[in-house]
Amino acid sequence: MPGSSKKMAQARLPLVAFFGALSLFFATLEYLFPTPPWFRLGLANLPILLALDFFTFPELLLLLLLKVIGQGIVNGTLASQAFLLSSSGSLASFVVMYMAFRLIPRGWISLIGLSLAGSMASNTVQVGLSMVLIFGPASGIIAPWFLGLGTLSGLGIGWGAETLKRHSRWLRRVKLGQSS
Amino acid sequence: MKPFDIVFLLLSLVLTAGSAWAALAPTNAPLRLEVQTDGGLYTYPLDTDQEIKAVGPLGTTLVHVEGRAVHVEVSPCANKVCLAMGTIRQGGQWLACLPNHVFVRISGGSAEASIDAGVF
Repeated sequence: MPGSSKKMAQARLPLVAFFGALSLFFATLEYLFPTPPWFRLGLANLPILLALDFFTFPELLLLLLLKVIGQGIVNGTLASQAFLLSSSGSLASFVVMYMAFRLIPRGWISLIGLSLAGSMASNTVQVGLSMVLIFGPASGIIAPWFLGLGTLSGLGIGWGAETLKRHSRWLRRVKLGQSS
Repeated sequence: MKPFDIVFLLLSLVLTAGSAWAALAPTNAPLRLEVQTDGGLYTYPLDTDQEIKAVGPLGTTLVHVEGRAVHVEVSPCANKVCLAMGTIRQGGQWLACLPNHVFVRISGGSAEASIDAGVF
């Protein structure tokens, strides 16, 4: 029944907005951690990881858009080349995480693997773009740092998301559709 | 950890190691200083003392070369991370001023050169 499914989608819209706001909050929280200026932990990815489980594809795309724009505003990079890098990284990470989530059977991968895959995709695309489009081939020297730190942060964020998924009663309620 | 968590972890580690090998692998070429700006990639000998002006969107980043050691002397950027990065001397080391689009890197150098003379 298209009518009722449209109604359901509308009812879930505030939840997508809430997860978008969570992404923005995590993007701000990143300032607490001392990292090199060219590296981001990717905490804002946490709400997307959690949302993979219960949002539809269009809802996830909307969440990604909110995350990318929100992050640009929080970091003050919305109108700069850094925004091109980070938004391309976010898109690549989302595509890889979504595909892995859909294609790999549930018992074979946890949010840790999804987070690692997303981090790897995001950092590879960002290093590639910075070498080809922005800073030139010499910037490839930064790749091992980018990918190495990305592996650590991907592991940490995946572990955090997996722990939340297992223990959060709020998330369980959201999943069952009792909260909006 | 589930099977594909381990697969992606191993893949990440291989990618990191591969990029480290590609970026830092010692070669037998003599040490050169590479300065990348929006205007292109410029190469300088490391054994000539000089001041190199790297022009970027914010202005001129002054790179100082003296006694085969390189550091950023003056930078028009706000956070001055490039100045705080200190001095580089060996192949594979680099300095960067991202806001001004300036990358400075020492390329070349043999494997022996990267090992301290005091190591037995």
